[in-house]
Amino acid sequence: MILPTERLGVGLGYRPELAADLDRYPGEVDFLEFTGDHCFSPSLMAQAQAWSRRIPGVCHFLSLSIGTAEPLDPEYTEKVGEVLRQLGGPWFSDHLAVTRVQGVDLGHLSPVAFTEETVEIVSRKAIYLQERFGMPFLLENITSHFTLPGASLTEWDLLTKIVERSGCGILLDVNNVYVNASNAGFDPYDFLRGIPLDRVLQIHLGGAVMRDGVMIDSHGHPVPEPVFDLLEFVCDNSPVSAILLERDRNMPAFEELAGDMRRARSILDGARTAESAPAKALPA
Amino acid sequence: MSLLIYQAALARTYLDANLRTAVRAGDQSALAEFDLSPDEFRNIQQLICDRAQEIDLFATTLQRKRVERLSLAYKLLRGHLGPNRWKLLCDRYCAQVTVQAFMTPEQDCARFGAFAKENLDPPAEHADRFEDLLIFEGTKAEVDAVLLPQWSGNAPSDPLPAEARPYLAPHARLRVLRYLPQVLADWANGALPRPVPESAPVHLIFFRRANGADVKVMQIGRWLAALLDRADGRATLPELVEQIASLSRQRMTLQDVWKSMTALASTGIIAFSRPQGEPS
Repeated sequence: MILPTERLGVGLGYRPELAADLDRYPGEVDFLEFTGDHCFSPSLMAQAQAWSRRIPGVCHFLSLSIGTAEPLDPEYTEKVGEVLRQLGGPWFSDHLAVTRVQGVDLGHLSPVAFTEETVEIVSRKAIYLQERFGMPFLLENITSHFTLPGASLTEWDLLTKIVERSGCGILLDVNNVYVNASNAGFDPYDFLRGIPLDRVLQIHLGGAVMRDGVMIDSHGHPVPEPVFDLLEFVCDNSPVSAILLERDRNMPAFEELAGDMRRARSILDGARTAESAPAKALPA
Repeated sequence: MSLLIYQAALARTYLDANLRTAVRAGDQSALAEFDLSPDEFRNIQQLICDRAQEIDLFATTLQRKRVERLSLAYKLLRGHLGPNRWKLLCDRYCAQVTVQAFMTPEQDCARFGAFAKENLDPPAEHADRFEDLLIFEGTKAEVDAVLLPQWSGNAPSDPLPAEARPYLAPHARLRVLRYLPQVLADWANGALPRPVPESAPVHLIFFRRANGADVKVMQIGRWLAALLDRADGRATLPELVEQIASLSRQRMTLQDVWKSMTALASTGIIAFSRPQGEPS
């Protein structure tokens, strides 16, 4: 599927508590990401619809469980379709993860096996989703504190093969790359060198914290400097359209969020300015 | 072993700490339902042993998320029980009730209310307040869990047709408590003023507005509660007024009822059925 080229800019995940600040600081947020699962609630759907008339929006889902070796849940998929019909958007996304198996919902993103079988399972579903809803589907890389045994691929090889086979796009969570690299001891730029950056449309930018010797994707801390470096690298080498600042807990004053958003915007703008120049070489 | 069976067995181990302990100890019967060969069992056992800290962290994160949501939904109960009893209750709940497929966080919270009622002994002296507390927070969670509220969309016209038949919307709940919510909150927080207020029937409607995420609680009068209790989409307003006339010394006019019904309809709390048929 051909990916859109329009630029959305820098945005935030919508939450009702943000409404007052969105009113108070018009123009600070270029787009909103709506958690599709929350919009199953009509009250939140009504809010999302109202906001999407004022600020462009994209839908991000949590529970397609695209990595499970069983068909997509028809009821959940129907709800996804209903949200997309009502909110629209240039694309929709979910995680490269397992969240549900045989009727048990984990309520959490758990890792897939890095194997050819997973490539086949996920690609088939991604193709189906794009055809059914007629819009690009983006897969997001998750954090994982362990790798399932029997891996025949690296995480970036897995993502690349799925993208190549299905034609879907990538929602690249640069903080997740940083966290996984820190915990597993690989170079995050190996990951970035290994994926088709031309398929990266959206970026998630978040904070991390070290807890008991393990790096955690907290969504509740400032964005670490190395993550901004990764962001800059990706923006310089991919057609990024949207950067989302993730912050779900320890919410700071809006001014602090706005500061991080301005910094991300300047990185995106800098990359765009340099669009006519040759792309920067990937680090060896 | 198929990938699906492998994923299902792993999911169970993520969710169940006792099962993880059994698998680590080599108890093959712990995963008997998955019909694993000895090699397949060893494969999972090895993962759970080799990456014990990471998998426990993953499992703990999952439970922490659930308990955070429960703590928000049951603030009063948590305050009343204190941190230790609250933690024990949550641990028992999470161990006994795994998150079912597509049970939303709100549905999980609603289910917790029923679990708490079944598993907690009321305090000897204040059983009535304790019961009210569970009804109050449990109903809030229940209303919050309704995924598809049916907003009436058919607010009464002016003048209200005589044949209009009101009914409580499926996403709204009418409850009778013995104490005002504020009294319950004070009691749960240990700040009940002296003298303790006498109990009296308190009629509450729990509902959500179309444009709001939070569950609202509205106190209504006895006669309106009696009317709503009988409003099933079959009786007309004059019939309902007649039914509840004996409950009030002051006879209500249809205009009084119309005003109240208009206000309730505008919030989506009630709807009106079509004259000849079932609720629309």
